Amino acid sequence: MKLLSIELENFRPYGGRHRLSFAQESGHNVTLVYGTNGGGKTTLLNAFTWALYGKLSSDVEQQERLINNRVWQDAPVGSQIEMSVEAEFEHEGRVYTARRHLMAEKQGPDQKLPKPQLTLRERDDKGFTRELRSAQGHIDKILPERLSRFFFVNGERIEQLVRKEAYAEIQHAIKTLLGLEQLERALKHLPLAANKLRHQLKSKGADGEQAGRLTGEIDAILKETEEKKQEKESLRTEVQHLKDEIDLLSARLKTLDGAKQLQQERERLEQERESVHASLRKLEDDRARVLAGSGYLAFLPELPQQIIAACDALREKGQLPAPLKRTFIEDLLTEGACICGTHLPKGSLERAALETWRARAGLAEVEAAWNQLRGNVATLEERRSTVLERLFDADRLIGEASDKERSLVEQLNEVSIELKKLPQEDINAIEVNRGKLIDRLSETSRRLGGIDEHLELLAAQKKQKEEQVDKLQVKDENNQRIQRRITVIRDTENALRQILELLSDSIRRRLDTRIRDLFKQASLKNYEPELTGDFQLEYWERVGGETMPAPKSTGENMLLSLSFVGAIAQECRDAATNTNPFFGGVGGEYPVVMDAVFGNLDDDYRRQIAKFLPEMTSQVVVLSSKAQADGVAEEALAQRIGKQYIITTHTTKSDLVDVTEKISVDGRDYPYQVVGSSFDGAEITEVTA
Amino acid sequence: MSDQDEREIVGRIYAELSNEAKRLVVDVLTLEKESLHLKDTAAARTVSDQIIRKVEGIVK
Repeated sequence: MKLLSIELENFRPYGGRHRLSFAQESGHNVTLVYGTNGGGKTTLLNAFTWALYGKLSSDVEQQERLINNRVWQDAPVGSQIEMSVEAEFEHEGRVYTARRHLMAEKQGPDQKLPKPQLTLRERDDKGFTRELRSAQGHIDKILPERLSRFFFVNGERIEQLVRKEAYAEIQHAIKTLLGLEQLERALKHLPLAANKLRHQLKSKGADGEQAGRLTGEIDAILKETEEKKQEKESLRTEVQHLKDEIDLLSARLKTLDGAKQLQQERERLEQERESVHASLRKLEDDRARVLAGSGYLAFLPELPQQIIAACDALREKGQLPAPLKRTFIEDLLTEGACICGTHLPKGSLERAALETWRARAGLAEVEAAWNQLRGNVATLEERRSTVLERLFDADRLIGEASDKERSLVEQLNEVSIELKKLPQEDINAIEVNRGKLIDRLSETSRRLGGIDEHLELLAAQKKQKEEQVDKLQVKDENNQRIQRRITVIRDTENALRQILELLSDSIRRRLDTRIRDLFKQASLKNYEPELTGDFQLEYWERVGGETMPAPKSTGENMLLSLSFVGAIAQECRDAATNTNPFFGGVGGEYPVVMDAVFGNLDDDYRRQIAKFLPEMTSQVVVLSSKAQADGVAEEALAQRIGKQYIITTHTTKSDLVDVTEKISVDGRDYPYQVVGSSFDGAEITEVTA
Repeated sequence: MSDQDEREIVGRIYAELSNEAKRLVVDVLTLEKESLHLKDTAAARTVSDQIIRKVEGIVK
């Protein structure tokens, strides 16, 4: 998607028609739009998302007042007023014009507006134009709404991608990117279809009552599973939100005199505790493995000796089992007859053969059996001693680690008490609040663990009941057919589940690599970024040989978030040449439109971001106040700027002082704010050479 | 894991399916793609019914 132009007609502060066309050349791919705070930049950003998706961001006030106030006021009651936003863009060799518009009749001061209409026209490479049916569907295929928030960005909020809470947004973006939504939805719908088929088994009379009961129970399990999954998602978000809040309070404490050192000490103790806790878990796991494999030996203290004593007694009596007993052969010789009926007269060959057997019988075999048994019993004792030794060692180490962890917890509590004792009220309040958040985090995590267990239980119950239904006597052909259909659905579900897991994780790893590369180019610090397995954006620093969480800063957060957006854009670009025919997904070049990207950052970060933006993707539209872009950012962007515009803000207020009425761009002055104007609103002017 | 490995594993999972399940995979993904605009509840009802029609057509 390459943005060609946007035209606004009577949209919010923009009365009349205003058109911007965008820089597209690869060396000059930046369009810079200047506008004062509250002057219409955010509205311009929202014009894109409104035209494409009919949505305004939540920070836009009075969303129902879409038509320009002045135009509405000036229009006589009963007249028709038109409002529209038209976005023209190119995608895969075709030019599209998306126009969302409405025509409203003025009935009074309130804007009672009809539902806006969307049209989408497509012009092919030969210049033929046609209007497309299902306009929204087409736009969603080109750039799904879920992904658009990363390309039409409010700079003040993009930084929040680094918050733990943003994991869901990131995860969704990744799945949309690869077209995995339909896979996810299929995994919800296939089990429902399978169980609907099981209901048919009941109606066909296959073990009727039992099948009916079981399928009803499976329905209930599926419903409960879905509810629990939603509850889990909401608790997971809450956990991440609480962690973010705790991080914020911890960071705040570090900025306050008196609390700073204690907070640093707490962070050191927390890291040590995490490390001790990890060792403790490992030791406990090792002990569990020893117990599972050889634990029974610990409960046999007397047995080896008892076995040896019993065997000694048997050996002395010659009663140890052997393949052939001497007494048995002697009995046959005394009786003079073999068990097969052959007579055994003295001097006969048969008797001589049996006498030879008597000489060999028992002794060697008994000795061999005895030696084998004795050896086994001796090993048993040795193995038992080794296991006991390992268990005692493990107990000792676990005890030491537990003591260490307990001591660290006590020290952490002492730090908290010290902080609360500090005379400054704000420190005390922050610490009390932090403690409450930690309690809530602990409780929420516990509930989350409970839901996980419950979900496992539900999955096991579902499997068991499905197996029960499968085992029901299926006598007639019709029921056998239904069961074959259920099997096909189940095989399909299993395959799609494996594929979803594989693809979700591999795209996360690909993005992680891209983020690392981009962040390395952009960051001012030697931090290592990571898109974690939990879909969180983190960065780390190496201290000594250890990797620890790096201190968060707005500048680095911004650069990491932009690296993520850049990585998404790169992934889309590569997907265009390497499409997945199986699932579709999104592919192509995408622009980034970014409002307030320079925020209140210091010069180093503004320069760095200005250098980074044109490299992120093929086309960038930057909306900024003159003050925020002034100096270093403008200098860094200068070589890449292809188009520039000024949003001039008009206000009827006339008693304003210290207002920037003009700004100078490329050596020419342009009106920036018009105080005491005849109207409130905004106008757009192109900067010309 | 490289993109090539990933494709091979996906291909293997697909290849191990019965012909009926292979057809259902394609049908279900197409159905879901066409129903992405539906809200959860409506999709659950409509798509699961359509899956049944599809599997009835495959396993006769």
